[in-house]
Amino acid sequence: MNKIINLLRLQFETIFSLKKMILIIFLIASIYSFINPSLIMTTGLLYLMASCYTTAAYEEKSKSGYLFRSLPIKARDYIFSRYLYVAINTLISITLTIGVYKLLIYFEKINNNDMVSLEGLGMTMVFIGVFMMCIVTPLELLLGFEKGRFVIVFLSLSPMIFGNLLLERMPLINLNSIIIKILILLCLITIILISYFITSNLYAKKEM
Amino acid sequence: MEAIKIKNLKKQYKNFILNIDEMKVPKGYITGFIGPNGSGKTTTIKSIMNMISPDDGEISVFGKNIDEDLSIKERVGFIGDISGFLEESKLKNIKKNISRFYSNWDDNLYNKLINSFSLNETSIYGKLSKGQKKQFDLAIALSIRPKLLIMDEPTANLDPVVRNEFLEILQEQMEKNDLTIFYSTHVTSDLDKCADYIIFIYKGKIILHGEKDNILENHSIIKGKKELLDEETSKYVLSSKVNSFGFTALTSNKSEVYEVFGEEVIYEKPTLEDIMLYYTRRN
Repeated sequence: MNKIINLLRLQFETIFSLKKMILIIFLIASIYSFINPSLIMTTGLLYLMASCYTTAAYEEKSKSGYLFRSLPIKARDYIFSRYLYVAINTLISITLTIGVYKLLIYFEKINNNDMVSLEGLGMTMVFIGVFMMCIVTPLELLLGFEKGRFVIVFLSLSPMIFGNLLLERMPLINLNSIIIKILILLCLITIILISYFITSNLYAKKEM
Repeated sequence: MEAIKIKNLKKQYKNFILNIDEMKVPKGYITGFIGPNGSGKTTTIKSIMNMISPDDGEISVFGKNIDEDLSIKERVGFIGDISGFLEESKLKNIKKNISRFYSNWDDNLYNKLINSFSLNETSIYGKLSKGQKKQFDLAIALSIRPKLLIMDEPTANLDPVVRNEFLEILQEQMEKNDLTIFYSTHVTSDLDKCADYIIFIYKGKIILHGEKDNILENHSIIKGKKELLDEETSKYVLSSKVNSFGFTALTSNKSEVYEVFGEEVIYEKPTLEDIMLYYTRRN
């Protein structure tokens, strides 16, 4: 477990190194939300993009893969830490989105009836986080930005494109039903596990 | 026991095949891994570090698979052409994050090395010069208190002052800490100064290995009139160069060649670079 925590610290170091850039992105996105409250999703999404996609791009530029291969860790530990990293950043982005949501209500930019529920907002962010974790992160790790540039850019931007659509459709899902919630949770766990095992195996064979 | 043992290592690329039948790196010495660019030095080192998957063969470090036994990997320092440290990070943050992975991390040694290299810990890694980056990489690699230090072309592109400093620190650490160093380079003058053993790889195969002093002792450059080198006598040299003034050649058996040429030629002690040049010319 210590190794996973150390790996997470190492990955969060990338965020701390880029903190000014990430803070500016978040502030600009928050200002956009105040100008146009329907862009509230963008705030969290841009943080998620900056923390997962941009930091991965910087790591690739520094060829951090060489470092991870020379450290006394197993490939599956690294992949696990990577998934955990995206999960933590998803939680941070949900917190930030909720924070901006509350501020918009406080400043009467929106009222509770204008938008979907907080639960719907959170659920949309979770879906996007799982998408980043199970699809975008493995592609970044396995293909790299050079080989998979077009696919990764498109996939990373797709939450921006489809996020609001998902948010609009969220009321169609009956989030009050416990069975639906459990089903969604089981589906997400299954997808994450399948993605994790495939990525771990492929990454262990990846050549530097 | 050998620090590194390789058996029947094979790795095939589109235009290159690495094929090492056997390679042993003795424990407690500096072994230089030499060969021209594209000979397979980096491929071999990447195979040892599990950065690539060989098609076939066995590699053990201190008798174990480096990726299965992490306690072994914790005692292996690696300096490659690329360190993988985040270019945007401060040195102190890199040190803080890397040291956590190693139970034997030596903060005193790290501080001593950083001070002797005059590196400022608040500097950004990406803004360091190439020489400073290598100095920092060396400080990190030595501070984990490795039993084995694997380096891939660590002194390439370094100026002679930094290179000498680099080599002096390596030798000092080797003597103090029973460190094994496996060191690939095409700058053979570095190895003339510090290596104990030499492994020479060319076109993916090990063509020469052994103690450096023995290799230098057994080989000799001979210079003489070009008439002396005919079809018969050229069998006794590894390769030769003929011009209008005469010939120069390399032999791996000085006494045998002395019987053939006697005092009619001049015998000179070769450098590792001479040996590398003549062996590659042979092919």
